[in-house]
Amino acid sequence: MVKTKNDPVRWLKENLFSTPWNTVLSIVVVIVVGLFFKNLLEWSFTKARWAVIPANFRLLMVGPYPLEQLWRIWASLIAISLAAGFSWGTSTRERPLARAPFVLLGAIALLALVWQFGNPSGTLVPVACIGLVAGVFIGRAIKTENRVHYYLWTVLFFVCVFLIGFDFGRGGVPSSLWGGLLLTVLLSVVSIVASFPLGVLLAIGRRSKLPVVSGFCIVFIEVVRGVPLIAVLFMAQLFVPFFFPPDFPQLDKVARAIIGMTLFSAAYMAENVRGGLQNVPSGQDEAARAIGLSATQTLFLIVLPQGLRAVIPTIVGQFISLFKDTSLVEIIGLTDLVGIGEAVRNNPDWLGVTREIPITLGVIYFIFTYSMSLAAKNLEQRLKTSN
Amino acid sequence: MVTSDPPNNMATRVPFYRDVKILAVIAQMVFVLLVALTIWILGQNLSTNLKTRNLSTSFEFLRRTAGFQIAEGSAFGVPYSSEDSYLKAIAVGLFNTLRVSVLGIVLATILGVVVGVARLSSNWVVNRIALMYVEVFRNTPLLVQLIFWYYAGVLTLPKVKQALEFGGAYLSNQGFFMPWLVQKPDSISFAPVWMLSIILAVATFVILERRCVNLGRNDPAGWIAFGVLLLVLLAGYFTLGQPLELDLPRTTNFGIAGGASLSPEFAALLIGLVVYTASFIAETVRAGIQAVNKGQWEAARAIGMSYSQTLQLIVLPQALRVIIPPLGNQYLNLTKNSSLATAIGFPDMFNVLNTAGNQSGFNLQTMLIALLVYLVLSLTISSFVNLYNRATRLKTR
Repeated sequence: MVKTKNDPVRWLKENLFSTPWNTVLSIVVVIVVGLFFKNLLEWSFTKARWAVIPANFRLLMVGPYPLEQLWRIWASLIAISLAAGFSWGTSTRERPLARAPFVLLGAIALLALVWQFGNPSGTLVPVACIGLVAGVFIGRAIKTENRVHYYLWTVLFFVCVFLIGFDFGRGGVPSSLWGGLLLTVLLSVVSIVASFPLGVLLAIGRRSKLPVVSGFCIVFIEVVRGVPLIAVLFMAQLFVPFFFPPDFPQLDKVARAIIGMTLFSAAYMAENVRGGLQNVPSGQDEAARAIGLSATQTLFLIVLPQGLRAVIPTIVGQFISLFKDTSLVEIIGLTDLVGIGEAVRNNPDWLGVTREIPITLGVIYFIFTYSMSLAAKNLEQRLKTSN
Repeated sequence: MVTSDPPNNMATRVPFYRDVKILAVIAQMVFVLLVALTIWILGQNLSTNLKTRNLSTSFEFLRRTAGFQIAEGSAFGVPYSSEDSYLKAIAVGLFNTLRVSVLGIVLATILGVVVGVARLSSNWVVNRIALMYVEVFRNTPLLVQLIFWYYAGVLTLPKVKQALEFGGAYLSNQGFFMPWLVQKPDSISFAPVWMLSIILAVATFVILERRCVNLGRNDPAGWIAFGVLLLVLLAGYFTLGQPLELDLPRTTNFGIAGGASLSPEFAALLIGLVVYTASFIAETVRAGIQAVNKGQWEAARAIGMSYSQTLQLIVLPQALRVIIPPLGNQYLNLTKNSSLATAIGFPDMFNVLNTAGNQSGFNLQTMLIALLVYLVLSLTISSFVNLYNRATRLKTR
């Protein structure tokens, strides 16, 4: 009799008990891991005080952001879901690869809305859903190029930052009041966006045939990459004010942290971009010059587009590590997700609650980074097949 | 940029404003001017700011008395007290950074290789657990993990009086304590012996390996070298008149004394760094082993090599070539990440420098020192990696 492939007994035999050594290994590992999860579950259902999370949920999400200004965040999230719907609606057509991150952002925005912390009315979820669906239909109806999405999301990025902080006549929200997940996301998104042009410039500079230019870029890149981020952040906090004229208005802590993270991230970005540029065959460069393009045209029309396309997954990877690294701003006293977590841990009302918060923070970070790394893997696969 | 000189006839000389060489020089001069201008403007601001705030730029303060305690560590063996100079305090910090980095690198490599090999195991439970480990620890910030290990891990262990005991070793919220071999008072130093034993063992291993390759034999070089190590250690121990004794930790009224100990901060930092970095090393190892062509396995097995021989002699040497560069990067990251010690109060170099800067007001200088020392550490590690790369580069004919 031929057994079917899905026979569980056979599967067990092949995967767990193929040799005596494997049998012993399986049993030991199952027992150890089983004990671990048994204890974990027992703790989390009996001893753990999970009430600390709902009680501080708004703090964890937006930090000290004023309650009466929360509409700004809702508005941004709804705008993001509309745009994500639009990108999603068009992404079923040809060349879907560049839009996956946008759709992901929309999904995260929706998720945040579903929780609707600090929002009493509860009408926002349907609004955002309608926005998303409307976006999908608009996206299906309109023929677009990838370029449209880049413009749209760039504009949206500035609109959101503007919405979150700008004074509309009823008082703005200074960045000292940004906190929690909001600050974490803002820090990482602003830094990666700002470091992109700088990184590309540094990468081009490093490849330059002019020794002074390439030398300068190499020194900058290698020095920054050789130093821990925490040192860069401290230096930004301490020294950025020194480099401005004395009568210049003081930059706040968040802005200084962004400067530090941008410079740090730019050095890594430069190396990633350089990797991409190196993989563009030199024939491309020569062919472009042969048909009469100038050096600048060759760089911007031929080499950069191909090189950058190849490093999109790497840049997503860099964004993931930057997203995790924003947690370091807690050490310089900002109230990001980890900073809020530490504040709650030190709150006398929650004395002795030590495990719940780091575990929750870990889960939040994990949701973001893991979904982004899946997206990066997906992109990589599509890039491979499309080449 | 392609130098596209037109055919150089006598009549059509390239005018200077289109000569690529001259243009390059001009471009560089413009670049230098721009950079110099920026630096000059920033420098002007800096110096006026320093003057208005009355800050000095001299490093003379390093000789002054530091005046702060450092919880653990010594200046490379020389004990430190708060009456010592800032320079010595910084040396203690550097020593602590090196201590945790070196120990962390060794342990992370071991754990990383185990998990990486487990990822490729044919045993379903083992490779799923390894995958879970990698994804969980790679995708959460190290800082969150450190906070967890410190506040929710080490500090929640029982107090000293109720310390957990494992065969002479104690785990408590004041640190980990384990039995340790120490020099007996008034005895001949044992240090030369163990140094000699390591050197001899390594030499034996290298010579035997080379002989094996030359003669096409397969002697158990590793075991023989290990035997040499033990033999030299034992011989030294008895000829020097048994200069070592086992120091067992014991509970006293004030805590636990004796043996070797890890402070709670050191333990949490070490666990955090090792667990986090090992998840990255595991992926590197997995990728390296997978990069070796399947035909290599099959060919080695076909000529009659056993599984472990194949792994040791055929697959790993080839995989290492892929593994080493990213592994070096991970070592670098671990060293740099040890600066997160600041968050849990372990006196690593960055923490000490930060304290020194805040206390003396010479933040500018202390940060510059931090920059310099981390750069030197990074360059040292990366030059080792480069040396290895050069030695094991694929030799093509």
